[in-house]
Amino acid sequence: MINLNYKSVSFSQNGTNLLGPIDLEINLRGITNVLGYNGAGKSLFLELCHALIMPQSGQIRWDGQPANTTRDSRGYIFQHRITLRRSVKNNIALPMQAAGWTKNIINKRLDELLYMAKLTSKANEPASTLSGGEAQRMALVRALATYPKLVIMDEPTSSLDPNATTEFEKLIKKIASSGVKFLWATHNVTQAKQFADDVIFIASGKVAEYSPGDIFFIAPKTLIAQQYIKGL
Amino acid sequence: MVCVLLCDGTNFSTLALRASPQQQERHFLEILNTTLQLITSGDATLWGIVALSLRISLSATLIAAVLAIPLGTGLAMGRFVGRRIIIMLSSSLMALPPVVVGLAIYLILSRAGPLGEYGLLFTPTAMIIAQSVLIFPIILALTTEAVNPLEQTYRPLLHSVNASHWFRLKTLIIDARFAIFTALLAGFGRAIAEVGAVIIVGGNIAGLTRVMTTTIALETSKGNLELALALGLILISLAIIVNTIIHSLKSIGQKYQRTSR
Repeated sequence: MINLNYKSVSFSQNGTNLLGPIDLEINLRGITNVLGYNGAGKSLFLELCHALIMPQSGQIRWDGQPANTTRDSRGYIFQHRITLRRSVKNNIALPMQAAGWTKNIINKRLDELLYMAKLTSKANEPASTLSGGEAQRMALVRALATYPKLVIMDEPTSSLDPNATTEFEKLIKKIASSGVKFLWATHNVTQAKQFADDVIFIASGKVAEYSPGDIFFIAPKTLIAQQYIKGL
Repeated sequence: MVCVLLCDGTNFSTLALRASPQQQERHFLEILNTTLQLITSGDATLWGIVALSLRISLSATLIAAVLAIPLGTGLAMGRFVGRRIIIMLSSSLMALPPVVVGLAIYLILSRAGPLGEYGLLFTPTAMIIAQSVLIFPIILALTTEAVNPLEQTYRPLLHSVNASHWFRLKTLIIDARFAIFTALLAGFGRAIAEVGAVIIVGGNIAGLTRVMTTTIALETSKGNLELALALGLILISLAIIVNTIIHSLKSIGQKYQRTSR
């Protein structure tokens, strides 16, 4: 279990309140899906979680520690692919290099990660030549490189075709079974039904609902969540 | 010069020799012939001048690069007040008039100037300083321009892996290396072709501070066209080589260009 605590968190830009105030204290287990309509604030919620942006007011803590001092213990995957102008191998090595690992340890870990992502044969190719699915698998193992307890994912499959999505989901299942927790924003209700241990439902910049997946999809408490699940 | 080479040699007795009355009898083809002999024979004076030019301009490029590359990258990374003004200023300083730079360095290095006690005026060191000053803004501005889009793409990722400032700087410089090298070549090209500043601070002393451009200026006015022409040919060849490298680097760089989709 990882404890996440949002304490009166608000985020605004150019005077417009985009998120919050949010007060939330939850214990993450397995996979937690973040759901909500486009523009509800899912991305902002995740970026705040990893302290990629800082709130104007309030505090976000992970197991009691401020989010901006604990980035090392989390991995992050962006919605759009971000690849360095380097080989696949050296893309995956980035977090380990940033953490100051030695070459030997990095190389050992790279072998495992490349194998996990089925990219061993493409290790030395420029990352720019990867397909969308391969690039997101690369991003996933890159996020896992330094053994984080939690991986935050912002709609990682939104631009993938069905096959690539399935491949990506398989990898998630495998990783989740090894004990890594996921905080995963998606707009795909079918996907969330299949994966969510818990659901955070965000509407108009607020956490409208937090409940276990099997309860959320059968009996959502709020009207807006009911509509969302029905696809309205 | 290109025109001179292209035209029929027989009509050149007047045009080519306008500079000096003593040589009016000489045929243009004769000059060209001696020029080529000068280049191929390994003439000590000629190649000494070329070597000095290269030494001075390469040193200047190196010095300017060591300062401008990290600064330019830092400028692309930074989000501070006045950043835009600095970027704008460095771009406008790219067009710094060489003679003005020469004059300023002259004043600083001359005996009465703040650095006068070091006796650097009319030495190759003074020329290196002048060229460094001249090309620093070029390398700085081109580096910032090259790193900027890359930084915007990389920023979230580098932020998410908790990269330190040094690590970010290193990553950006490594990944923008083709464009940065192009900036260096542009700087080198400007330095080696420059005449105004080095003639002021170097003094064009034979065997000591006489470089390709200053020699061409002097020898042409003296009527010694062979040496001037030979150096001119070498200078142009250098420009072509540098540009060829820039172009091939660009095509290599494009292979890695696609960073996000």
